[in-house]
Order: sequence, then C-alpha cells, then structure tokens
Amino acid sequence: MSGRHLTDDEIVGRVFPVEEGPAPIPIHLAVCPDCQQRVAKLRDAFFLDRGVVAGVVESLPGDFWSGQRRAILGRISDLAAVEAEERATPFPARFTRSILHRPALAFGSLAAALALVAGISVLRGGTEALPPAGAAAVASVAAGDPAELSAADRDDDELLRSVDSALSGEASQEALLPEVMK
Amino acid sequence: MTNAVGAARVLEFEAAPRGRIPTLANDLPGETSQSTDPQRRERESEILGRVRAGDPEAFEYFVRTYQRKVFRLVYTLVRNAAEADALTQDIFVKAWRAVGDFKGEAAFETWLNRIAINAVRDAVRRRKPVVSFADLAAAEEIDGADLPRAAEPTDGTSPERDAFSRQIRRRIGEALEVLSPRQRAVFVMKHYEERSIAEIGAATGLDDGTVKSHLFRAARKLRQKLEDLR
Repeated sequence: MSGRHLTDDEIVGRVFPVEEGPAPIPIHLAVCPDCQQRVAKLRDAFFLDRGVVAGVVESLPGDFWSGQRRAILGRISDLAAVEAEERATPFPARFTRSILHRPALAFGSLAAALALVAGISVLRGGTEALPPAGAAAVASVAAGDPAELSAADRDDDELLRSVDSALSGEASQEALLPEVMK
Repeated sequence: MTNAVGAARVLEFEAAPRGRIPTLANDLPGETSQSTDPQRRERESEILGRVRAGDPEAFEYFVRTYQRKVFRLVYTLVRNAAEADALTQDIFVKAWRAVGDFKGEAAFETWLNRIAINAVRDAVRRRKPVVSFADLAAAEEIDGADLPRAAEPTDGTSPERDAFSRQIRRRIGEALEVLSPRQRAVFVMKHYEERSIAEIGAATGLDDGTVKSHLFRAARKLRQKLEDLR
C-alpha cells in the first residue's frame, strides 16, 4: 500500500472539487479499496440526491409548465394594464377599485374627511371670536362681571361708574364738589 | 506500471458515475447551452426592446426559454415544489418589472439567475425562524399535493435500499440547511447545475476567489454533517 489513507477533507475534495477540470489522483487512492469505498459512498449519496432533483423537474408534465407560464404572463399582463392606466389617468385604477370594493372604507374615508373639515371650521371660527388675552381681561372688567372681580375691584368699578354717570348725566358738576366748597 | 494501471482504474472509476447521471445544466426540452451565443443574445436584445417598448407579450419568449432552468435552480435550493413554483413566478415578474434596468452587459440568463438567487435568499431568510429543510421535506407530501410527485429512484429490488436512499436524501437536505444562503447557492450551481466558476461569479456578484472560498467552506460544512455516510 503506497502512502497514507486520504483525510476527510481529501475525500470531500474528490467528490466536491473546488477547482474546475480533472484533479490529480493520489496514487494511494488507486490502490486502496478502503479509500475508494469512502469516496464512492459519499459520491453515490450525492449523485442519488442530484438525480432525484433532476427527476423532479423532468417528471413534471407539460400542463404544469403551461400553467406556470399562464400564471406569470397573467400577472405581468395585469401589472402592465395597471401601469398603463396610471399613466393615462390622474387617479390610479387600483385606488378607485380598492375604494369601490370596500364600502366601509369609502364611508369611513368620507366621515373622516367631513370631521376634519368641521374641526378646522370650528377651530378657525373660535380663533376669530376670541380676542387677545389682555383685551379679554379689559372687556371683562368693563362688563362688570361680578363673578370675575375681586371686592377691591368691585369698589373701584362702582366708583368709576358713579363718576362716569355724574359726568355724563343730568347732575351738575357742583354735585361732585365737597360741601365746604359749594 | 502497476501505478499507471491503478491510476487508469481510478480515472475510470471516478468518471463512471458522472456518465450514469444525466447532465443537469442543459438537459431539458427546449433548452440549450447557448445563452452566450451572439445570435441568441442579439435576438434576446431585440425582444427586450419590444418588452421595454410596452409589449408584455414579448416577455413570453423569456418565460418559455428559461422557466425550467429557473424552476430547477430554485427547487434544488428550497427542496419544495410548491414553493419553487411560487418563487419562479415571482422571479419572472420581478425580471419583467426590472427589465428597464437590464443593460445587456451580461447574458439575460445570468441576470435572471441573479434575480433568482436573491429571491431564494430572501425567501429562505424570511422563513428561517419557523421552517427548516427537514420540515419542508416532511411537508412536501401536503404542500406539493397539487403538483406531480417525482418518482423515487429505486432499483426495484429492495425496500431496504429504497429506505436507505430516502435517508441519504434527507441527510443531504439537512446538510445543505447548515450552509448560508450564499454558500448554498454557490454550491448548488457548481455541483448540481455544473456551472463554471465564472458563471457562478456573474450570477452571484462574487469574484472567482470568493466563489472558491464559499465552495471550500460549504464542502467542509457538508463533510461534518455527512460524517457517517463515508
């Protein structure tokens, strides 16, 4: 027997060579039935598997291939039609189809749109009605809302109102003078 | 003299099994190995022009020409006929959608193989947490029920031998499962499809050295998984 037995990597390398073309054959393999058997066992297993894979494809009938072809070309045809429609119309067909085929989605979208419009209207109306914060405070004081005034503020307010009415009303300015000055 | 005779015996011994197995790369009806043939490339370029111009029916030529090759490559990788069928359909649809990006620098078949390998890689990654090759082999009875079943290779003489064959197939399926998607693609293209290193590199986007490195690592991993078969 010449040389040593093949290592595991060498056995695998004979069955699954990385390089292309015939690999040099170790002399030992030519004369060692054990190594030949190890190589043959692994290779037979691989070829068996490879043969089965090839057999699966070869055994598929023509109907399978024509059906697969129809499916592929059908999908492509549908996609081509959608793309052509999208190019031709502002609203893509898939959008309108999806809306029309789903009434709940259509009503939901409509309701959401209406709610949005209403919300924006309310917000805008409210914003316009509300004066700035400082102006609101003055207006509140001017209106004399007793609930919003403190006691001191109420006294001041009454005083101002009485002065105002005295100045603009029928009472003469003498009425405002102290008794000693009359 | 003895050594020369012995070497000749080994040559015969090593050549014999390959002769028994049909060549896989181009052995199906309607297929030829002329994807690099200038006439064919010229014809395909003309048909591609029609497809790009908006004639989807022109694409049927490519489906007819390559569907079996694509299916076989995908089937070898995923080992499930129903999944291979679905993926093959997806691959052609993707190719049609991307045909505008195809520059014609490589053969159409090479470009298509690249799409196929990427599609299988993505599919394998998606299912990885829940499905294994072993599961798929078991599920094949159900999933592939609507597809014709491949005849099990048998010599018709021994049920034990048939059982052993099935066991070996399952073991190889499990062994392929330990490879990364890229290693598996490279390994299958080299040893099942008998593609050249250059073709594999073009289809996977790897240089020759990296292809060889993947092949070497894949073989090592398989050796560990197939330890007791040797």
